[in-house]
Amino acid sequence: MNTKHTREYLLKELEEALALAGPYPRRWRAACCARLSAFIETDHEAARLFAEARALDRVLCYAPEGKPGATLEGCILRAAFQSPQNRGLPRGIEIRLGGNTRSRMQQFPFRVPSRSFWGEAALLAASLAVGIYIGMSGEAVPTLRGLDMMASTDGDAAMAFSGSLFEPTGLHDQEQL
Amino acid sequence: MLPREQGSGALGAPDGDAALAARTAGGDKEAYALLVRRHLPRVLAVTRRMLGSEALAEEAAQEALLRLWTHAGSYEPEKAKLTTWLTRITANICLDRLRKRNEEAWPENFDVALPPSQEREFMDGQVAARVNEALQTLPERQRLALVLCHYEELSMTEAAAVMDTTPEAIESLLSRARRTLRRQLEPEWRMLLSDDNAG
Repeated sequence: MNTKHTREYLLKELEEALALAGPYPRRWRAACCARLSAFIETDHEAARLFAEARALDRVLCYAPEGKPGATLEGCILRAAFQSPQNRGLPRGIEIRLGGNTRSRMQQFPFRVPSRSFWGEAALLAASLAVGIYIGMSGEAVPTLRGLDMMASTDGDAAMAFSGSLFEPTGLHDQEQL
Repeated sequence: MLPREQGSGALGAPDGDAALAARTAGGDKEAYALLVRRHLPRVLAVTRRMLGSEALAEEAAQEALLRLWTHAGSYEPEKAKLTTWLTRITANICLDRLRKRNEEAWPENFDVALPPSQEREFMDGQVAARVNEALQTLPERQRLALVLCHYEELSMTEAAAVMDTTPEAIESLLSRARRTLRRQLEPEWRMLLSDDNAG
């Protein structure tokens, strides 16, 4: 590689380093840092590129930086203390932090039952109570008799089983006879 | 003389962040207030440069720090520093708001800086407005990479953790961002160069 090619290569390398990390040699790749620093000292074009990068860096420093106003902190604290804290994230929601995170479900498989679970449990309990009440009061006996008749008669009798739950038509006819 | 060096490890956790976060998760208001005081400037700096408006930046910063209160229980110190976790939340809030901004009509001149009385300050204000404008034209992820690495002085690895990507992708984003800004802000940096040469 002749001198011209080497210089062009170094200029290209410097341009890339400046684009990537700005005019901060310590942030450049270790492999090229010393080489490029020496190159800037000796080459006019390299020095110009470096000076331009520094100027751009100074311009970027003009970007407005938010300064917390006197009231902002108070506003944040007030808003926070009016908000309930989540003692865990809702189901299926996770805050991702890289690839090693797990959802809250994975972390806490034995989670507190949701509201829908309690609704279903209440319905089951209520139906059990109604079943016990009906069983104890004996009101279901005619129904059971009717079902027994249905099982023992042919299809016509079964078709006649209609109307009130506790007054199967087939049973009435039999009693009237 | 070379400019101020930017070191890595800007996210180095201030002492006691994890302990304060644990106390915050338990509902300790004093611990939370300390964390807010400690992290508000950085959070606001990120939102300000990402969103380009003081008012929007304050709203986003408030939302980020509110999540620190409501979701402190989900912070896991063994996985990330609190600063990384909070910067990640802040970055996501900014990206969400920028996406919504693209979907909705946005008022023009939403954050016009008041012209300072003195000429020098006025010129500084003009340059600041131009830089702000140029930053806002960058694609969101390029802007975020620049804000994290250039302004917040995060290392590539730290920025990659915040943005859930690889250091190589951060390099690419940064490189494109700087090249674009170099082009867009050429009159400004050339003016500085000529000032230096004249001096």
